Amino acid sequence: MMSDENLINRLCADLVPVKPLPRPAVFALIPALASLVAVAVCVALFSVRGNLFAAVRLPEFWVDSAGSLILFILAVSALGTMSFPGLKQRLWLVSALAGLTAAKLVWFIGQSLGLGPDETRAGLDPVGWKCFAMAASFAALTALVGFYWFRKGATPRPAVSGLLLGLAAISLGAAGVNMHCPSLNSLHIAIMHFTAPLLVGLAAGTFAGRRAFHW
Amino acid sequence: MTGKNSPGGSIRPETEERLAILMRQSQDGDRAAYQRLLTEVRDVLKPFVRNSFMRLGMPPDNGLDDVLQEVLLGIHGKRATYNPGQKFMPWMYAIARYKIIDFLRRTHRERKRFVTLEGELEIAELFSDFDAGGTGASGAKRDAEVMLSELPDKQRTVLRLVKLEGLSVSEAARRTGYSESDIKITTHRAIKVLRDKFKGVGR
Repeated sequence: MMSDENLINRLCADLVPVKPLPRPAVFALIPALASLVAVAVCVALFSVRGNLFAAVRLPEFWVDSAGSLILFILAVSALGTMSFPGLKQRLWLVSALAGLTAAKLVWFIGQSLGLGPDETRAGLDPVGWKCFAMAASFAALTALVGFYWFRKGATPRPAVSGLLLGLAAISLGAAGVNMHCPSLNSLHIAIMHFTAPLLVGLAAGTFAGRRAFHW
Repeated sequence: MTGKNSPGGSIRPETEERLAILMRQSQDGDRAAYQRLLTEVRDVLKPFVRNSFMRLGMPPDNGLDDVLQEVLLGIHGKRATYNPGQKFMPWMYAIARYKIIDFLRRTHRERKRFVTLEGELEIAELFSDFDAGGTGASGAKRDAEVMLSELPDKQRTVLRLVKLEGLSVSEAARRTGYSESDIKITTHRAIKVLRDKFKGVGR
């Protein structure tokens, strides 16, 4: 094994000036904007839902879309803070993330309980899997941007960072699919747009984060 | 300043200030400042890493220097994540903590793997009873020698040292000149060879 002195001399010889990374909020904003633009372009390519103007009058649309976007922003912010060693995670941010995810799931359950049998069947309609695939694809796009970008940081908790990235990616994916899919069926939106991709995204994010964010 | 930001004990504010200045100069490419910074960081972190090892029940001589060097490498590789407006010590300790945990996880995994190897070794020992006359200690040893004779030179030497002579992995590594991981792998392979060769014998 090399002695400490030798290692220090070697590191000093390798030293080149580095530009400190921007503040956590700005650091997180860059991949967030890139992902938003990428997903918006994809939605435009796949076509925006025809009943958008009718949908925006419904509170469900806002809970689904705006709720997903807020989750995305919160998760990316938490990820940004986590990329800088020594910075304490803000408690309100973690609470908001957990609270909002739980609230969204409870909202979906509440909505689904009031549905009739036909609508319930529609939730698992084979066509619905298209939305699942689309949400997962949008999320994968965001995840790719995120893994590339946040590796510049130095998270002390790679698995948690991966989980947060999974949550952020799925939330943006869900918001994107809500802009494309014309369905107003709560169960379909709950399962195919958010919950099923979320489970996959959290597991995949944690798994990949352990490897991708290890330094 | 004590508490959260100075897990290694009390850190004087002037130390924090000095290290922060050295870090800023290092980010600008000042090699002399960087040399001083890394030397000081090593001295500050040594007791912290040792205490962490002791708290976690790890013998400090078992990897302390490795961890310290990994922390220095971590600081070097991720120096861009230090924000000049931020305190230096919490940043440094966060990197040190991460590297200690990472090291312990890796060590734990290796230890678990070796426990598995030892388990296999016990299985191999059972094979030594394949000869009905080999129930006594000398008989078992003789049978073990017969089994060892089936192995290639390197595997035979390593297995004899580790199992029959009872040497630890590091002692066997010193004696043979192989690395510790080489000893573990060779032991594992030798056991596999024996198991395949003597499967079902004496049952």
